[in-house]
Amino acid sequence: MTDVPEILAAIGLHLDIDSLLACTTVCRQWSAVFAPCIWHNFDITRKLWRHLLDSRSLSKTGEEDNFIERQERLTALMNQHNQHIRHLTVKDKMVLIAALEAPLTGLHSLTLELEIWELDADDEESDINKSNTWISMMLAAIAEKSPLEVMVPEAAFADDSEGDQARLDWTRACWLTVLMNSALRRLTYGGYSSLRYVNSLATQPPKEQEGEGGSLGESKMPLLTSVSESFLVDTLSRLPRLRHLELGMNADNFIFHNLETLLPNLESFVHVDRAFIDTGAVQLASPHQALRILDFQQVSITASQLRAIVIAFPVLHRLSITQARSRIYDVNYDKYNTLISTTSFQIEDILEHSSLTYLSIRHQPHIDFLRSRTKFPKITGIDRSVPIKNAYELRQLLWAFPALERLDSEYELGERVPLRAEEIIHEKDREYRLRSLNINTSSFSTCDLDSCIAQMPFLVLLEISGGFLDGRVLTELARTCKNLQYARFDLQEECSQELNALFVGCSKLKECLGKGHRVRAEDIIGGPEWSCHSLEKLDMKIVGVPRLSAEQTYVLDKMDGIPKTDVEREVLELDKEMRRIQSIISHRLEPLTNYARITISVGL
Amino acid sequence: MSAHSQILLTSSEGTEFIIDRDIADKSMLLKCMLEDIGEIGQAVPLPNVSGPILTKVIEYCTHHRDDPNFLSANDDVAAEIDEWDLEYCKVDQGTLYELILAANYLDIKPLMDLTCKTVANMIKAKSPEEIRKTFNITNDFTPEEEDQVRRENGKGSRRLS
Repeated sequence: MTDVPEILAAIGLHLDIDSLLACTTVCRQWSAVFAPCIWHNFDITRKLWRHLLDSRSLSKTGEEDNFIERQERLTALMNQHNQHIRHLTVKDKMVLIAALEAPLTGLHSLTLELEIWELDADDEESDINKSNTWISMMLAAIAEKSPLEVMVPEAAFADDSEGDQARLDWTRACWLTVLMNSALRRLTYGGYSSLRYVNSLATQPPKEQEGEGGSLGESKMPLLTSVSESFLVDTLSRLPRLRHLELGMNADNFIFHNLETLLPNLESFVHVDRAFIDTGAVQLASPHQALRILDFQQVSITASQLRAIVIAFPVLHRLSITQARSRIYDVNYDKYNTLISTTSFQIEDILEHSSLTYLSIRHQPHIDFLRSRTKFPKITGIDRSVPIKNAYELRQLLWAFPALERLDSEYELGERVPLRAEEIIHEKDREYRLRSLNINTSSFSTCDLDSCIAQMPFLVLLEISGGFLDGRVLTELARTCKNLQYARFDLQEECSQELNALFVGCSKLKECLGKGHRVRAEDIIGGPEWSCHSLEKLDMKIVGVPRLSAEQTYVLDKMDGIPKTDVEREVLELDKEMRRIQSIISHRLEPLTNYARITISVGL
Repeated sequence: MSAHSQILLTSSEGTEFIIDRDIADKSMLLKCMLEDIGEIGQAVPLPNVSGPILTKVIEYCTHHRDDPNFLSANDDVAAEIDEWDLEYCKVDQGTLYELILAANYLDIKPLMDLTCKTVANMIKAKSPEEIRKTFNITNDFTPEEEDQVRRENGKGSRRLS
């Protein structure tokens, strides 16, 4: 198909390692083009590692090769393919040493996942000790040739409490690798190690916060020391092409609050550590005109924080908000609730964020962000679920996300104060776009749900567990939701007529499942024909169908068709009536392909 | 510069195409050219792109006209192809190849990524023999060479996976 090497190489960018290896054995030309591509993305997975050892191994010995040999081989390989390596993932100390020694300077993307905690080894001869010595010698060697001290000044990496030289060396080596690659576009260095040893990085929140199980929400964030701060400012200024950044420790907070100044061109930022969003500071900065992706991995967001983000990042495209699911946070729900209910902010103006298309919300212990009076008209689905407790919250959610087509709500964490009727913004005449509504929250209050349903003409799927529907909701479903195909809900009170009306009104209904679905035979017979001709599954109990008692059956059996006594006449009449009702019901049920879940019973 | 100005392009056969300036700007080649020389009102000749392919390219740029993220670099190689794009790429191999060349020449990165990704998907999870068959490639290795390559690559990719 293709004979232009450039084009083949461009295709190679989209291939995984196995496919690339296959491509190298297709023909000579492909071999020449794709072999370098293997090196584009250097992540020593065990597979590739074995492959490297197997194929290019120093077959001369055939013995178990030692650390130094492996290290030298890796360095040589990296050096050899230097110009091809664009993406590097460092999970292994050897790789870091090789990257520095080679040296790799043309990286586009660097991921540092080095666990520098596993550094202690009792054995003097251990690989760990050898690599520790190696890295420190290497740093010394590099320092002789270039102004290492300017890039990663030793002073910035001193930690007076646990001044372990090896750890400091590794951290410096990591940052040196970063700084050697000034064309870096993506940097992922999320681990705890990343800034642990950058000098005295303050991780202590202000004193008064201590002893209360940590600070919350909008309380003061931990500050960086001036040394750590200037190290970060300096480092980031040396990476002018950076587009994606993921950095661990509390550097996140510092960078996030200074994003506009530090990295005006950044497109994607992952906030790994626990976020302390200072709404004032975020809103004061001028809006960031490049950031498209923002990912908070540990935050429980409040209404004012959401508003601050909306204002600060006008071109945001994807927003992820995740609260770490850890025990530490569980104890704080009460605090969150107090915090929110006492925050009596009265927001009057309505904001709109028209570029956000993706929103992910995970493990949020509260849904205070729904009070933010902010609309997101481009969002059609929310990733994961928003734990909704009542129809008011549902209404408020649909106000904020008017284009929402799919909503899944699951019970998630702890107790919280639900949104009340007076807190929601009413939009009586709007049609919600919702096609799928799945609420699986415990004790969901369906009060006012009927008026919500009345605004959902596009609903195809409705699933509500954890609460009982009432007759009014069913009536509204039958009247409005002409597209309904799948329904699952439980009933507590008798809603025979309303349930029957559902089968009359919703012609596309395929499944209607749940507990407590009871319809009186007289309602089926007395009501209009069912319109749902494609019914497939039904959880229904038909009650009130007359049935002959044993005695009456005996009488009927003995009689030869012609009744002679009053009793016989009565039995015959009853039998006729029973057959009539049964035939009508079976006629109504005819479209069903699966009768399995229908029970017909006598009496109530 | 008016936002609604139009640009005249001529394909390799000399067919003329009139497109809106904002559509032309999706191509870095045209964008730079138009910025450098200004709008001269003359047709811009594209000798490397045939009429049918240019039509197809314009279709792509028009569909993504208001895409705010069109030009921002998408490094997410694993990102899924959306439905419209998927449908757009359902063309024969020859056309796909022509599209890649056109995207490369006109410097339209998202189209380049899309078309290359489509070809990459045709290669994925295939053996070398299947790849040769798909793209009609003759194996020009001597048996010794092939053996050598296989050995260097850890005895063939199948073994690795």
